[in-house]
Amino acid sequence: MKKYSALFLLMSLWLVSCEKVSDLSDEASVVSFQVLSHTPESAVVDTVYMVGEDIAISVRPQEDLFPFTVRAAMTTSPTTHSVLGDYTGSEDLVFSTGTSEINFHLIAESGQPHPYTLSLYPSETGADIKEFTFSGSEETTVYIDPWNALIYVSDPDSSLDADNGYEIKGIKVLASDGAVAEYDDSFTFEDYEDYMEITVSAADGQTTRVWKVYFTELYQIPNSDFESWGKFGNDINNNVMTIDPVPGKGQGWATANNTFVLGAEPFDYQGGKAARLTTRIQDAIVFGDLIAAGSLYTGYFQINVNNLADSRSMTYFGVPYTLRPAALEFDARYVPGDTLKQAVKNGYRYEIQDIEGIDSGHAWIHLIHWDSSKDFAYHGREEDGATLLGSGEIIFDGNNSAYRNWGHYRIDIEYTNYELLPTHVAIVFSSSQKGDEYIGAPGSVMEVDNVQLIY
Amino acid sequence: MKKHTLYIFLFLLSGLLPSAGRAEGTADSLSSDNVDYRFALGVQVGTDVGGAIPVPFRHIPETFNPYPKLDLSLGAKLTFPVTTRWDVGAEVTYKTITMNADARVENQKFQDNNTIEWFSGTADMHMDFTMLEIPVYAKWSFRNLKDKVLLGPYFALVMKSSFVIDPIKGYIGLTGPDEMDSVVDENMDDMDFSPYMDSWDMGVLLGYERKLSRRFELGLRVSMGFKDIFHKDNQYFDYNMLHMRGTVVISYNLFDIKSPRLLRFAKD
Repeated sequence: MKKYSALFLLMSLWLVSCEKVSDLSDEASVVSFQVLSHTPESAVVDTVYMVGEDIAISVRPQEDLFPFTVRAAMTTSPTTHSVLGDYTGSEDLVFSTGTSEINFHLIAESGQPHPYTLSLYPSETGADIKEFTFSGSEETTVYIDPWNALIYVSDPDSSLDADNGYEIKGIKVLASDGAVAEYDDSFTFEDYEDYMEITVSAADGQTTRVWKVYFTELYQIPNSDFESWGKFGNDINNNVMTIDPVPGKGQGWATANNTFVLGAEPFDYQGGKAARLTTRIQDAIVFGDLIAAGSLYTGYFQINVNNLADSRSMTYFGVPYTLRPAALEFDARYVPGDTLKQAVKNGYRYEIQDIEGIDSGHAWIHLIHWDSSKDFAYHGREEDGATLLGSGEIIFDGNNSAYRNWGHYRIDIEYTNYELLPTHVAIVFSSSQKGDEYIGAPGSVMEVDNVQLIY
Repeated sequence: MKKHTLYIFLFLLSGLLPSAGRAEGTADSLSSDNVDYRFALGVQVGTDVGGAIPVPFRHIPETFNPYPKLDLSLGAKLTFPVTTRWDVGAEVTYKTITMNADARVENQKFQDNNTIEWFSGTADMHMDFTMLEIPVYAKWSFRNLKDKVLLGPYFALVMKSSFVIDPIKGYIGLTGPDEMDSVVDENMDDMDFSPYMDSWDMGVLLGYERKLSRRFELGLRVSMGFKDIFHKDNQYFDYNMLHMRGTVVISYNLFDIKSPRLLRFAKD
């Protein structure tokens, strides 16, 4: 009997000692991060800042700093199960530029990931430029690169004139405390390689930096040549294949691809990739069958299973943008599907019916000023908080066979409001113009490539 | 093919065991004169605790909390005494084995829109198997003729099975294992591996049996499958998942069937 009691006790102890899955911690964090050594050795590393899940190594900008290699010691919390990503704690950290980021994840005991970012922070050299202004500069874009002592100027209302160049007057520089900046008060950029120099000498007299100012072309939305596609996690189209939203969700291109229908796909074109948008019939579960136009647009897609019958409410058009482009140019072709159809509501469900007509593709651009007191949510229709400043469109009439071949198209933007500055630009391509009304011909195809904002 | 041959060989071997037992039995100190050469036909009810486990065992999740569900099994058994201490037997049992579990999973492969991905994190697991199990065994009695041990192969026809992993939290590698490309959210679909499960199993059964009364017997068994529960060409598991379960069974001997053809054993 004693033997059985001992056995029972042992088994009980074993069961009690089993770690419960529900007890596994969701927490994982970096406790300390210390720079041990770096290359070049002459670099001056000041402090390591740890704010939330961002770790910034403060480094003094200098010539030949990059690639900047760091060997560090990182300790993590006891509930950290593992470290995954571009840094797992033992490798050298290599920053190829001052804006390089190294991303990694701490995985908690439960498997919950915690994203961390390692970056560089430029510390004071004593000979820095904090502000660069000139007459009318508030209507231009000025970007200061402290790592390379560079300043870029661009003007949304004017490009560089080949004959007269681009002149800036009344130049003012705000330099580091006590530093002396030497520069002319006006300068004319003859071309994009031309630059003006500003010499800044620190108060200690030992540090001198020569800054260069360039005039540059204006901003283009990244991945506008549609070369990069993939799956980008559950937060981006529920991890279904889509266009790369670089530089981030809601800041670049997007599609309405979802688990139920893939309307936008890449295909090989002229040695690279282009976007193919296809109108399809989508099974919207309890709502029946719908016509779903293939679409590609700036903004993001947020699926809501309850809103499958209202695709527009899931498409958030527009990305942050403050310039006034003159036009939108792109390459495209359009082939309508065989039979125009419409999803018609019958009771609670939609049914597909044939209708008269031929399908048309659609490309449009809206410059929006959004009321900053509200969260941005523009669905391409009248919204409380949105003011349409300028717009333009092309309808690819399916009856016009000229659209069936590749062509280069330009949409001139007509501005109706010059008082407000744009906050967002929405650019949309759709394989069925009336896709939001569930009208389209399954098989209609619009192919698009090389989108460019013209200033 | 070699595996199949081995299974068939093992199954047939069970047929030789009674012969071996009979030869032994004749030389046994206990007289075989009292052996009543009759088939004993009985019914039995029982329950199973277990499921499928990864082999090698190092693939068992480091944190794994199983919650077995007890389902009733029903069957019939046939026993034939070869000598006083050796019996041979066969059973047909219809059973359902169900196990739910919480587990901390690492790099579980699954398919999503035609691409292979890897899930790591905590998950609810569910597995169940409805099967017709047919063991054939040799049974050896201790001196008291009440306690017996048995050993033999079994064949199981798996009529229905499911193996589902429901991710709760964690991350997904799209480009390979140990990659964090996507965070699992609550809307993530279950990983259903049921379509990749095989419809049969074969293994070995080891048991202990105690005669409670003239007609009632209590049995405790442990059985382990020899073959993967999944089709050989499945691409989601880099290791085998083998059936392993414990069984408690109570049988009731209905009657003995006297077969004139078997009386010849009495003359040995």
